[in-house]
Amino acid sequence: MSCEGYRDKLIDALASGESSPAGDILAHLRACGECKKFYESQVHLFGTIDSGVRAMVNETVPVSLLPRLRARVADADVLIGVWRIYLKPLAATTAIALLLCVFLVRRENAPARLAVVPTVESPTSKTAESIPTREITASVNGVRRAMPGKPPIVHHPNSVRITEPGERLQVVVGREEAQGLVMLARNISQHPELGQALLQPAAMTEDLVPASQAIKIEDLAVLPLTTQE
Amino acid sequence: MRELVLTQPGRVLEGPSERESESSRAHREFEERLAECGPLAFRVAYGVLRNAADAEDVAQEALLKAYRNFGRLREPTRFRGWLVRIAFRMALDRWRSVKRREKREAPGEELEHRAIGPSAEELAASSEFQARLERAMEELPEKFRMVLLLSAIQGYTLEEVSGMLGIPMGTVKSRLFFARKQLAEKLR
Repeated sequence: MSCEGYRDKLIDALASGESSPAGDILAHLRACGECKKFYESQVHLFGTIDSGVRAMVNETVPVSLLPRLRARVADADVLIGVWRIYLKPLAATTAIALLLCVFLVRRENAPARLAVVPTVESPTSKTAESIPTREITASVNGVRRAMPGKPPIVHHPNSVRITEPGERLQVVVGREEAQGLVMLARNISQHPELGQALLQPAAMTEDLVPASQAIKIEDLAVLPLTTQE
Repeated sequence: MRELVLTQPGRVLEGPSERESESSRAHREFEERLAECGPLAFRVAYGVLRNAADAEDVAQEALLKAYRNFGRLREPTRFRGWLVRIAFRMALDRWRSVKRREKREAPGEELEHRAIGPSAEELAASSEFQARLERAMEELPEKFRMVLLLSAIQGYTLEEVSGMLGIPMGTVKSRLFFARKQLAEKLR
């Protein structure tokens, strides 16, 4: 092995904390003066590093460390005590009051309840599918509310639906319209001919057709197309 | 209504008096640990900061944090390990903020930390070498640096360091080996 190889081995031995070289390294050091000098310099270097690191950490602990810490621990205890005795119940009460306020405010601003008209038999129920549906509501902070100034009527897309022939028709309307629709439904149920009459298209009579005069065009010249580009 | 405080599985403390005795017992246990762990936290912080006032602040912060979490850190080895790690990390944070502040205040200058009140060992080593050693230490990876600092603290064996950090003895030795080797390479 070359001197370089022995020196690497020496450094590894010193770095791992071995106190003195042994075996072939020791034999080489006895034979090679250069490596012996190198070894001594490395022993000195590692020794200085160790003493330097020890000096870094083994500083005298200030006498104020523990008394100051005890004072801070006592302060922390007082704070915990105050929290447990006063602030915790206060915080709990405030939280409950806030929740109650939020609940009341939301209840005040809740949209009007929907009235559901009793279902009616409809002989021409298929036509109901063509009734357009729309929604007169606005979403405020994720809560659906009736728009201000407009009646709180909600026409849900499923409010008019037919699934089976002869199934009852269900119409969802606003509270104000419910009364009138109930009466209408009752009348139609009692007088089926009224329903038929309502659904039949009105016959166009002669006098309803608006009279229009024939259009007269004078001085009209018809010219052939030119091939200009 | 009686107030019940659950402290351990299967054990319930009844009423404020027993809770208070539990709290005072924890306080007493913490006080017992302080005598040993206070200096340890200070020395770890000092090893990073090399400034007694800053190291004292960091040690106090770390110990106060330990006090707040004492309920789950009662086992002595676990407590010491936790404290050492938290003190080391807080000291590093403090050191970085000091460096940033110094850079802001004096841009372009090479700044050094100096220990307050040099010990007999520091006087023995030349101040120039000490400054180079400090710079070389700062460049070491954190895990190497921590093992090196802990193993240099008086009264702690490698076994204790291994227990504190929760790593095997072989890992402690290998980290120490690489740390010393890297320092020697930088200082040669």
